[in-house]
Amino acid sequence: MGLVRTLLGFAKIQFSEENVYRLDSFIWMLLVPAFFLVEYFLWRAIFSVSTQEIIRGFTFSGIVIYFFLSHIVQAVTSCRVDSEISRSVKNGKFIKHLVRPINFLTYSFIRNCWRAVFRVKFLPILLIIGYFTIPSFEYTSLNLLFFIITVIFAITIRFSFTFLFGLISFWTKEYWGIKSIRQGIHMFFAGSVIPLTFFPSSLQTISKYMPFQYMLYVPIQTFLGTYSTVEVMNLILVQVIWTAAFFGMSLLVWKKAHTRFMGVGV
Amino acid sequence: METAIKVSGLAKEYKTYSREESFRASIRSLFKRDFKIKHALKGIDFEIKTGEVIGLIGPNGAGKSTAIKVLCGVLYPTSGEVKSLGYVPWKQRQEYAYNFGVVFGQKSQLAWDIPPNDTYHLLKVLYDIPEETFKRRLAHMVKLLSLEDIYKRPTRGLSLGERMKCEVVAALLHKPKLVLLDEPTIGMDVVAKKQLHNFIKQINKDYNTTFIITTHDMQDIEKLCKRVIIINTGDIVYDGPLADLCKKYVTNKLIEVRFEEKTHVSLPKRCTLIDKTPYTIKFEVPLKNNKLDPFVAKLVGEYPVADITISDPDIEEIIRDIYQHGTR
Repeated sequence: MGLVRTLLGFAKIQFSEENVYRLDSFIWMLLVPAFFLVEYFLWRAIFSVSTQEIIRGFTFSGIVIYFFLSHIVQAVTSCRVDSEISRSVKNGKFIKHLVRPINFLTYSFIRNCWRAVFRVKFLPILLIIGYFTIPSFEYTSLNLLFFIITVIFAITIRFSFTFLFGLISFWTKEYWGIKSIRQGIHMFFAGSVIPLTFFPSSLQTISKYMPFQYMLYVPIQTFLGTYSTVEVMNLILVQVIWTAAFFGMSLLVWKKAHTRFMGVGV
Repeated sequence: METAIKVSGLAKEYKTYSREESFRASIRSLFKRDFKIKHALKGIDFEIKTGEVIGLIGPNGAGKSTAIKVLCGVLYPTSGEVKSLGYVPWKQRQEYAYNFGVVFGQKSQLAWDIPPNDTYHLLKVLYDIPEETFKRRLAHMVKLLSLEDIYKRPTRGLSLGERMKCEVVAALLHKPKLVLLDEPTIGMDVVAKKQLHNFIKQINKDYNTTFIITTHDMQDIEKLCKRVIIINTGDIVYDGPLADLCKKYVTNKLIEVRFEEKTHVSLPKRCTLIDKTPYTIKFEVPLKNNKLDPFVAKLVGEYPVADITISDPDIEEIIRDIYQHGTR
């Protein structure tokens, strides 16, 4: 009872914050499907001049589904907790989080999850476009299940990672530079610009040891059936390890940040 | 009366970094920064009883906000002990949070883009307030502060005074036993100020809530606080009833006289002339053993006095005097 009520209460405030600017919401609803259409036409052109049926492991329908799902996963995992921390530390409003009877990490995580839910409001339009553009494609319900599981862990990795980065604002006054670098690396290695199989093999190897591909590329490839069941299990294990590592570090660094904010030992 | 807050030997030091203007200095500061230790609080003691309304005043940078932050548990003191409502604020932060409410005048806790009402609903959830209780309390406070047309409008569109009233509601929704208000009346017009004063009095009366109010507005103090604590440069320079402050520091009376006809008065040396026209005179007489100088009686008896006003110097002047010269 208590927990459900808490979660619904969070949903309510997140919903109203998410929909304050109606024009913004509306543009966002159209923008994502528009991006998808651009990618669709680009890849249709590439495949029409290509002599190969399969490019770097992707059929035409595979690559279209890749970008289709990429937008959904990116929206669901999107996280701006770092900017929020940095802004409120800078203007001093962060203090409000310290006089409330809830742990800041918990508070941010719940809000972030609801944010993800309300971010996918472009889905109906994207689905309609997808219906007309995506060529027929076979998938198994097991892969769908794996996809959902890996997406959930993608959310937890991305949140805890972003949170950890956001805590840097407690030490540096200006966070934007660090944020831009992080975002650039993230976009590149998560596979949102192009699937990782298009990278040279050295970069692919490097990306295996970074958390980014587990936030986007891995869930999509799981759906596309690229991995065997054993491989999927291993990948989920890696996701769990990244999640645990980042949450653990977040907790530790948060304690440090908190005591720093409070001026301990000065 | 039971004790709500007990503070002993509370001290807080900050490191403040400073830097010269030159380019060389800014390069140097990358490696080695010059710092000064600033003593925001130098070991203060006070005790507050449940249900008291305390005015915490002092000039800018005196340590008021530091004291409030320590009482909220968001600042670690360098040394000293604080027991507030049975908790050590910075150690038992979460349990303590259910029991106090705070308004930082300068730092809004309302979400900027959405109406205060939405923040109130979030707070309802965070503080685990039952729906019925929440509705009743909110309706009551909205009525007392005349917020009916305000609290459902986005915060960003509210005037500073309107926002401050909404902030106070946010801090009181969970019916805290202790309320800390850091400059609650900034940006408020006279009507709003009066509403807030009545509101605080009402809550204090109904629930025996303890209030600590920092302010630069002497009206707040005169209207609300029986007891004031004056902090200056990190020390408590006065702690006691407002009335005693006046008694102790009022050493002069201000006399204004209007005459029926052109009159010349020669003042005794102990009086200070402030203003003089053929028909009026304004001067200060010192008080001796809290008694009015006999010269005033003589004045009324011997001169054609049409009207006489005897008043205390402004409380603000007393306070200013204490800020500048310390206690006598």
